[in-house]
Amino acid sequence: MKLRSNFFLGDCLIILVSLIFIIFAFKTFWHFETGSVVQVNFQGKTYGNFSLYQDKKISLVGKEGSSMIEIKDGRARIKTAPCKNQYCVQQGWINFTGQILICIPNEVSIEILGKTKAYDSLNY
Amino acid sequence: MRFIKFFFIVLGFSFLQSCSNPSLYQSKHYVFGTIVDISIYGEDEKKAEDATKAVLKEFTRLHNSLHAWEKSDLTNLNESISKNKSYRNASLELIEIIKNARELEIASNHLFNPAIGELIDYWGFHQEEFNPMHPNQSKIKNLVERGPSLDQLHITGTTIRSSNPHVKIDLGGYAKGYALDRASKILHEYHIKSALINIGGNIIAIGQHGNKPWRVGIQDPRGAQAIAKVDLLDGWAIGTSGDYQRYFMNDGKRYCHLINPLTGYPVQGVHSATVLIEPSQNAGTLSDVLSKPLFISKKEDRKDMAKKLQIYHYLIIEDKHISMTKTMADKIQFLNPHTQKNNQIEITL
Repeated sequence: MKLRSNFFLGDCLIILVSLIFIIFAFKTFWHFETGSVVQVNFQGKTYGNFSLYQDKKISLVGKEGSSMIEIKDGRARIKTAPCKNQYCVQQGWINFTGQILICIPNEVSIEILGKTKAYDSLNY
Repeated sequence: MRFIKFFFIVLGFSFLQSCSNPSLYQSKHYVFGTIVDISIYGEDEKKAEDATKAVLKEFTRLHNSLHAWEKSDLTNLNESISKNKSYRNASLELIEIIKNARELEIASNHLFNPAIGELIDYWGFHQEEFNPMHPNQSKIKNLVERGPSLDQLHITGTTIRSSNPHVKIDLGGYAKGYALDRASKILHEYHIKSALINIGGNIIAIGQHGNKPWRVGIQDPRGAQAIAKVDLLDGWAIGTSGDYQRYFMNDGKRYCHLINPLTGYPVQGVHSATVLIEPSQNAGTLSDVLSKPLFISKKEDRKDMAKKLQIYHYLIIEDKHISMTKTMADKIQFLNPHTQKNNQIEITL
């Protein structure tokens, strides 16, 4: 019994400190967190937040035509867009927190959300 | 048992920290043909909403007054110029903008030249969406030789006249930054103490995000995410000129919307130029304007250009090459360790 109480006094403190350190280090240094939710913005409003852990296709009909967003295997992409330049489609899949795809002509953007954001806004 | 209790307490704290997200009011809008993103921190929702509405109303006004190809005060002025007519009753605001843009044009040795609307139009960038085109060399030479400059405008009272009918003003490299300064002023009038305004990538900060500065990501010109992050302190602004937002590809060559007024051709080789601007009355405007001459300037002239324009913090990304000033390097943090490995990094003074 005596052995066990000694274990609790010193070792718990070490475990506690280590845990705090790990959580601190994780929060500070882990920038490339994979997101679990994609936020779909359409015509200036949030159309909805969708889990990345599902297979789903979302079709949005805007001013230019129909944009198709695809969610699969923990990632999201803009599969088809009605615009000429197709930048958003060419950028492919996104899955890291803070990544964003924007289709300006059709007013669609999708952003990967996570618990922590590496930054408040993006300069581009 | 006690160990498990400790464990849960620590876990609990870590979750508490993650969830604490007091009153951040965020809204996204589509103005100026781009996304406007306004974040206001620490105010009640009604106040933040009212202030945001006032800012958006101002943006719509500017859009209608300064648009380069949809009917606006500016297109009316351009029409008068092209017909060799005087433009009367110009607004004081428009006159101030033109005078200020003219000073910047001269200071940048005409690399920032808002009078080259004809060239931009020729390249097809005066449309929301544009088609790849095959440039005609002699046509471009002709457009460059017409030598349009804001310097050819003569302003007397509220009348504007041009000695060169080929001046076609396009404030594409000015208006968004000017709008940032206007927005900052309006938010101050609404007594908003902390906000971050992003117009199509140009950002200005007011106050800070709670107890830490506003943090801004700098887009990777060849990726879908940020390449670096930087703390944007109260009153500072950041702007980037890049070849990845508005461009078309033709025969494997990239033609971006940033056209060198001296050659008439889109700049090639530079992926992006980012400038960080210290607080001033027109920090927003400068963040928009000053990235252009750096982007367009020849590599060997860049340092002199930055010095002339008093740009102390800048970052240039080229193929496998990143160069930045020492003061910029002190402020930014790369997000991915591979960036430093895969690129040659050059620090200039």
